[in-house]
Amino acid sequence: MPPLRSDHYGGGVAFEGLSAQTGGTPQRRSRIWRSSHSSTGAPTVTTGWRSAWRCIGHRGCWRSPDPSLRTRSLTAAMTRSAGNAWHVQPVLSCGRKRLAYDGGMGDAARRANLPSFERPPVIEVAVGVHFLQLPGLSTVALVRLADSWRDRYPTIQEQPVLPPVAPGSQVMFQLQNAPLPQRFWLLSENQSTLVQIQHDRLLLNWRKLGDDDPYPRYGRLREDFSALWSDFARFVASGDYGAFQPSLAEVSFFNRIQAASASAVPEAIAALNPHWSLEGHHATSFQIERAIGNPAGRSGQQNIALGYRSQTGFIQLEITSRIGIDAGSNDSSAILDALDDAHDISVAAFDEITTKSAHTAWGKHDVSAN
Amino acid sequence: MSAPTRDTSITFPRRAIGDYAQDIQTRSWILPTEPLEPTAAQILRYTQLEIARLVRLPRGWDGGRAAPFHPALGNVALRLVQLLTTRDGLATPQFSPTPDGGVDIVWLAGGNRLTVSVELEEIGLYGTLADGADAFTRLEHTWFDLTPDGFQAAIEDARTFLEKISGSVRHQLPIQ
Repeated sequence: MPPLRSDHYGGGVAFEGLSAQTGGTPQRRSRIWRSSHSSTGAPTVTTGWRSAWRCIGHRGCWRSPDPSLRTRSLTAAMTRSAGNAWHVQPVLSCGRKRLAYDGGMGDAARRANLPSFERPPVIEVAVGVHFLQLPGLSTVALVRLADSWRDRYPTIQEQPVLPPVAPGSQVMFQLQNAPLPQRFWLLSENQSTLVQIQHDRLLLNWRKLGDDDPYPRYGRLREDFSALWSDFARFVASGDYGAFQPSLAEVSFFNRIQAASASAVPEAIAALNPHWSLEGHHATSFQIERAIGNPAGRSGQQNIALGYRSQTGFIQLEITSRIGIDAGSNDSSAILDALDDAHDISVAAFDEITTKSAHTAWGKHDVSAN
Repeated sequence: MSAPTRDTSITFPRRAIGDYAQDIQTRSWILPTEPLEPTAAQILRYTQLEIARLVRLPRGWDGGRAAPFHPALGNVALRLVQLLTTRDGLATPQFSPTPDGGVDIVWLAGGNRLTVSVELEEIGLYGTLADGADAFTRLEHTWFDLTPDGFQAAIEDARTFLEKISGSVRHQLPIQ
């Protein structure tokens, strides 16, 4: 279910999950405004409301002495052409950014001009944060933490620990001279979402289990992760687990793209030459690693992996972006900012690496700055 | 086959018991019970606190153009200390940031020195005896070139060396 929902028309609009997206609680709600006009000959009705929220999404905003910078406004415009369904287009803006709200209705873009896809080929998404390994976060502590989330994630599974993200890490983890720490999967009732927790990271995954399952969109995952992270930070603060130091924010997209043959892979992947072929070609794979960064000067790394085998009939395209978290700050807004950057860079990379014809098939549209 | 001209990490003897006995005597005089040694878990916690301190260093922490500590190297450094500190009572490492965003981890004991250098591009493991000679074959590799066998051998050499030089240590950790 998308997080954005119109409860009724005329008296206002209720937005589920808005609190996390805007990063605060409503401070002031202004009048409901309404207008009707005609466009291109078809009658159109627009209604909506505007409210002011305390902006805690950006540190520079909520700490600013300027009240206009501390306030983030939400404008929700609902438009309906005659005989058509309502189209909801909320826009968030604050002193620093103007954002299209990721409402789970194809508006996946948070950043102006970021592309969005109505039918993205995504089958799994992981969002999460790495932190400096907590020596006290033992298996016992992890079980206690998992128990506190049992209502939302009732199933628990043991998994091998994920290696630290660094060059050479695979080699370092091949030395089995000490008992390895534990990783847990905490699964939701329908098993479409899972929390991964180990001594140096917290991840939230969404998995597409049925062909018709819609991607809940980043905004929903961000909201859920934000709640998990707050719980986790409280848990760590309540015990003697070690110095809590978040280091990296990570967003991973796993896409599955149908391709009839290996020679058809360039039809979806712009990085490959569509005018080149070789007889007997039945499998393709490549991997790209690149340094990334954001305007705030935080650096990171992006890994793009593509694989195709004729036996499966689909391209597996994985894009993982990791951005360093401002070490001087442990507040959740810095962490969510880094997570947003990792998301935006991943989406932009997906747009770059895939072809325009594939974009058309996936229902691409750009979310403009306005 | 000729006899080895100098000690290796295998033949290098433990320190004479005198230093350590004196240490025990001092501790016994100060502490009402038998002297305690930091456990491997305590050293790991100490390491984690030190790395957390390094992670918070700003750009230009040296007054020049030094890079901030690379966030991805924190857990690598912790893992290396974990691999070397496999039993209780070993020496306590010291941590120094490098201008390129890495860290040098050094165990100093009785004039002997074990150094682990962790940078974004490469790793180094050096054991240096009090007379300046290498205690074991140095490991200097880029992460990309590092092989499991070479790394395993270097870690085992370094671990043996650390256990031997730790006999002459005055522990500085708060071990109460």
